Amino acid sequence: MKSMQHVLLTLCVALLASLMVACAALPISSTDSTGAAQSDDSQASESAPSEGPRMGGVVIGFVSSDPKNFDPAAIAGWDQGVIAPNLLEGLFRLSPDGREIEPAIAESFAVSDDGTIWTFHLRQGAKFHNGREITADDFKYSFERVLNPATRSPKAWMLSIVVGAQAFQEGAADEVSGIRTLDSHTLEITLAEPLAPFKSMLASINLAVVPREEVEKWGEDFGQNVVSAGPFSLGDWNLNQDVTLNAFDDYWNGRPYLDAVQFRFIQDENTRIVELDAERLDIAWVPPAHWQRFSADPVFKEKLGWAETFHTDFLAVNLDKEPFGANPKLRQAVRYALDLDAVIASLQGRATVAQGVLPPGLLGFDEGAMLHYPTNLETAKALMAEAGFADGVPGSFEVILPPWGNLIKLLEIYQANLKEIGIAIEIRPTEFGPYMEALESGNYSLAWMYRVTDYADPDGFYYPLMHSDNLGSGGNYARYANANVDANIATARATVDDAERAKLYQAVDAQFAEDLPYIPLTHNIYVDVSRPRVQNYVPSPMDTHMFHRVWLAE
Amino acid sequence: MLRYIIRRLLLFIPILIGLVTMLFVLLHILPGDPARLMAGPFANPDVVETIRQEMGFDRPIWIQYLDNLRRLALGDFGRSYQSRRPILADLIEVFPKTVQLALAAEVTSSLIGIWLGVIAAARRNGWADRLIMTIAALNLSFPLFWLALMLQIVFAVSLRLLPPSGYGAGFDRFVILPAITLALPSLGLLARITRAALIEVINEDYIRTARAKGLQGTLIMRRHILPNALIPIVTTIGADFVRLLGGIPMIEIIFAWPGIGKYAYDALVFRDLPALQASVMILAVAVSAVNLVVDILYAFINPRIRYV
Repeated sequence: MKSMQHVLLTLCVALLASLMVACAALPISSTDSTGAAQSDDSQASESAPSEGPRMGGVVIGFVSSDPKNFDPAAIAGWDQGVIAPNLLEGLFRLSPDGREIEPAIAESFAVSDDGTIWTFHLRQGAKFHNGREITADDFKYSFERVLNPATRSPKAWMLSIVVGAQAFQEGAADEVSGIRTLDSHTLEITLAEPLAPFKSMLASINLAVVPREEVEKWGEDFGQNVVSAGPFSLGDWNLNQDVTLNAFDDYWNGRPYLDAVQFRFIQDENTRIVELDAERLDIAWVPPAHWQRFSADPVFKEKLGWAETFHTDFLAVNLDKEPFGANPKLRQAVRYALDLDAVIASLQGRATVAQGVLPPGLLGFDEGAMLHYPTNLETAKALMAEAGFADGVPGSFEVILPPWGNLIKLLEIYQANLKEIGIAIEIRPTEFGPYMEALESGNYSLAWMYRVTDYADPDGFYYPLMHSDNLGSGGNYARYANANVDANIATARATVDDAERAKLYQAVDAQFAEDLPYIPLTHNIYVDVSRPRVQNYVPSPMDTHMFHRVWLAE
Repeated sequence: MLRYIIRRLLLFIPILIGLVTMLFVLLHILPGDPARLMAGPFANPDVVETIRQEMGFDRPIWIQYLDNLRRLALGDFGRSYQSRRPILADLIEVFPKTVQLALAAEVTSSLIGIWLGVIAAARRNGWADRLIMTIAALNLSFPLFWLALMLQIVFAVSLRLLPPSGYGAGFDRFVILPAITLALPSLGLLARITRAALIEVINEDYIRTARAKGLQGTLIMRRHILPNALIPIVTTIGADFVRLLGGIPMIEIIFAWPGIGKYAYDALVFRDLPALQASVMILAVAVSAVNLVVDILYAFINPRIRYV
């Protein structure tokens, strides 16, 4: 009895001691795993050139929460969007790096000269995960399903420009007259007016094709039993735990190299790193606290995945409110005063300075053509004087923002910058609902805000933010209205020629730089790290992780 | 006794109605519109309005409330706003996993905690007592997330003995780290309570009598001291189990444990009222059930306690 007690006591002490030394042990263990990883890597680089992509294996990735539902008509969340492009596919798809729109089930397409009639020729032999060949009827069914109000799809608006969509939604017609099947593999869509970004909308996961028989078989449970046409099909799904996608052998563009990809649901960012170190996770987002370690590590620094996301942070100015709304010089002064380099340094370099609303990588982005606002206190003060506020702006002004912890720290930097030119701002974190309501109703004067796009096209930024049709709740929260800008954005929407569109957007940018209804801040950079065995993986600027061409070096 | 139990069970009903009402009011006072969350960020206001109508959020609040109560009374938890799946199916999957983790943690902390307390009391003011009480004090002051991270680093990364997070069916190795993290703080508390309770009994006259008639030390401990000190210990275990059920969401998040805590957290973030209220109801029933079991145990431990 007594010796037993001693053994157990010793165990307790040992446990405690191991906890105490854990901190001290950390650097040792990390060099250990580096050493191991290094040898992995050297093997991989020796074998890689001769063997090329290797078939087989399972990559383990992450999202933070269970996506719950993969019904293309229902998807609106981040966790869903990361995974879904591996499962779902429609007429077009995004390239793995997210920068190109590639033909998918549509092998080719043609647009009529007036830009309203789009004809798609579907691939022969492209199949659903259940083995049935995809026909034009399936697209007609899938698109009408998204438009049907009973489906409650948040993305029905993507198709609202199709002729007959409204009549269908209001119940006046039982089909959408603008979606026609010319034969089993030819689909014709007629738009009420030309819309250049329609192509990128068709590449959205929300407009993926689904087979009617499976939707009807599963009913409300279709979201957990999705059948579509992407390179992977839905496999085991353990609620709140993980979901596995299996390689789809009959994918039109060739089977994925991997046998499967598993996404684990891990919300805690430290846990993900521990899992990566324990070699039970292949990819993890790099939290700020771990940045130094991974960026200095000789192996892992080569395995950092960067994506300049289609994401812009800015300060929205309510143009209806004095004094900032009435005075472009004052808004320019604000921009000159902001020390964006300091902000980016505090983000560990994981952002770039924004000169406009459009993030780099999208059509029409031309850094050379943009007006630059370098940080310059002298210029800022001169502009303040020109605006009639040589001694600063009296009073203090609330900046509303969603209540996200990191954000407040950034706003504090801006607050200090603006104080130097005599502008006092108050940081006012606001719950997301009331925050959005303030933006929509115009009951604010300054707001921190960000914008991402549902479709990889500049229109997703310019049209909602700056066209006067969208004033207020449509997304133009600054209440900006300029006839030239409206005309240019509208013409660009209707122009199919890319070079011409780019020019139109650059004209919008020039006007924007003068008026500055939104004060651009930064574009985000997403950084993750993967284990050395993962090959050919790139994160995308649209926050998707594509695994079709990823392979494992073992 | 049976009548007492039935009465206690009937008390669950008003508790649950009160709880559902409170949740409903809270979720409607709290900013955040489920229709907007379903529509995604920057959704078109028309879309939000359509969803609001389809989901019946445009009806008067009191009608929504009564409708909600009526459905619950019929045993219909509804479908999750997020997954559109029946909530009952979700709960059947997630709740047992939380019970599994809570039981593993509570059994660990009770066994080790009581045992440490007994040693400390038996050798009070000796070195073992001091050591145990020091460990107990340290345990109480560790933040859980730190403890979790240290255990992960030591046992999963450095030693590669255990998986750092995740879930495996049954009582396998996945449960060990989260259970220890949950057990360690209560282990210290239990050791202290046990020690105090035992020392109080040890100072009683009948223990001196037992010693005087020459009974062996371990026998006195087992026959006379422990049974008489059990009431505060059982109370503490009950209260601790309740604390554990409440503290579990954080541990489930850190260890990616697919239980009801993480499920309820996601539901709260998404303003998924049906999923949230069902999770909270189950947890409330669990807490009331634990309290009931503790009360019934009192009667077994101390035959002088009678329930009518």
